[in-house]
Amino acid sequence: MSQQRGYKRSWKNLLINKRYQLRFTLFMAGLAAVLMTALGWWVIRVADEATTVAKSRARGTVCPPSAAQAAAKAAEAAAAVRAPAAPALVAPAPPKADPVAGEPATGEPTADDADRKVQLDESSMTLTEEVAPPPPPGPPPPSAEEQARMNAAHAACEASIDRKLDAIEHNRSMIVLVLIVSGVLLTVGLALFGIKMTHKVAGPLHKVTLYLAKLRDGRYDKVYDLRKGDQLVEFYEHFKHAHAGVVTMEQADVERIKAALDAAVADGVLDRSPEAKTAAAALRTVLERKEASLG
Amino acid sequence: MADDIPPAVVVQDGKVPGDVPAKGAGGGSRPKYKRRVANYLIDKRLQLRYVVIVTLVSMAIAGTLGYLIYQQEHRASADLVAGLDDLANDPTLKDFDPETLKDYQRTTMADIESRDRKLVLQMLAVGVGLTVILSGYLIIMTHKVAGPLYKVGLYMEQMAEGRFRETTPLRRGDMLQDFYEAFREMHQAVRGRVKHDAEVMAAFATACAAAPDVGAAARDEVDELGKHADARLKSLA
Repeated sequence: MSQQRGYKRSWKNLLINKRYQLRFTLFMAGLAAVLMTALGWWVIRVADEATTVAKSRARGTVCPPSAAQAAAKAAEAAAAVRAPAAPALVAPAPPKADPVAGEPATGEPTADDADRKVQLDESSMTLTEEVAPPPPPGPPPPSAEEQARMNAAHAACEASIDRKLDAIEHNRSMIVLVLIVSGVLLTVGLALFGIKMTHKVAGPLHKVTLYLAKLRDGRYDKVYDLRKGDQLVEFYEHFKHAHAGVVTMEQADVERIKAALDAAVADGVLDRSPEAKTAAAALRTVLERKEASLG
Repeated sequence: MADDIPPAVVVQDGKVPGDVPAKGAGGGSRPKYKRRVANYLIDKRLQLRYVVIVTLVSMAIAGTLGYLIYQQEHRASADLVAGLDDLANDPTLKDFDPETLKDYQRTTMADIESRDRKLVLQMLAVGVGLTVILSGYLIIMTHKVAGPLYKVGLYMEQMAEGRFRETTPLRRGDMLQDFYEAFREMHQAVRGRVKHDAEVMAAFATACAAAPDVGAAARDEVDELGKHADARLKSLA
């Protein structure tokens, strides 16, 4: 004979013992949320660092020059070769103080004396002007086809860097998104799981509580088994033994009272003793209650 | 004034009698309860189930996110190492002393490896610490459920043997207070009925015994009823 009644779990009545269930469930879900937040913040911080480093490296990639850049560079190089070195402008030295009259000038030349030039205004020497050598011929300007190829290579390199930067930023955004989504899902999932898990403890406790109320009111109904998957099986067995013990005790009382009353009635002692008769009436009330309790 | 003075109680093994129902002679299979660290695991199946689940979930979260942290850190380190390699091939740095550059690379590499190692150690320490602290806390937390159930279980064992001693309240901080109150109400109601019924039975036995000319058969049954009532009253003590 099966002692299993057709109880079925339903999401509606999963929260039987709110205080117990919510305490354990919220602890579990809260802990997961705290862990996800703290470690997630750490992950994002490190991801930011990694993103910054990766971006710096991507930006440091050297691209081949475009045609315009190459031309500008060539022009700059040519100009550097053509232009003679500009003489350094030296501020004129302050005039030397004339030697003090009566004192001989020092015979040693000074550093300034070495730079002094003598201008010969009425010289008959033929002066020849020094002419700088012509600059070497630069590379011929690139052809239109070459310029297009250079521009394409440059654009491709720039686009590649942009793609790299986008990919790095996308990677970081994905990490943040995955962290947030998984954190929310995990917390909600754990909350549901926690309620379901604690329900397997709260369910038997609820069932026992209902039987306890019946016992309190003196009704000794049949005790059914727990549902499959419920916990506290051992505890429930204790309750069943206790229940059976109380029922056995009541049955023993009933038998003993019946035997005593029957013997007293048969002996006629109730007719001879008014006290015994009064006590028998009270005992019969007890007997009726016990028999009603046992069903 | 004497009513204001609480009755004296004898403390045994650091516990007030009645905190946990005492075992009867040869009764039950449960060991005697003492609050010790080892006794925090009263109901291993109930407690460890929750402890293991929560600890595993926490370790999974910490492990996954820890791996993510390590991965990101490793990625940054790899980029830095690659950047160092680029330095060696950078034509703009050809005027630098190669030994100085190599020294810089070596120092930076060592720093990166040290940071990575430190990070792994930090994460391991956090993981182990979290597991230990969490497990300990959860065992204490579940003990507050398992404790009342253990206590109720002992009372139930006594009830199964037909004994109904007075119950005592739960310890402060214990959970399942509502359930325990329901149990106590039931216990007190049954105990009250047992007492009342035993007194009625005893009164009947006494009245019959005092009656004149009671036959032997009736006297035997009434005596048995009287003993039965006495036994019931003793079960309340």
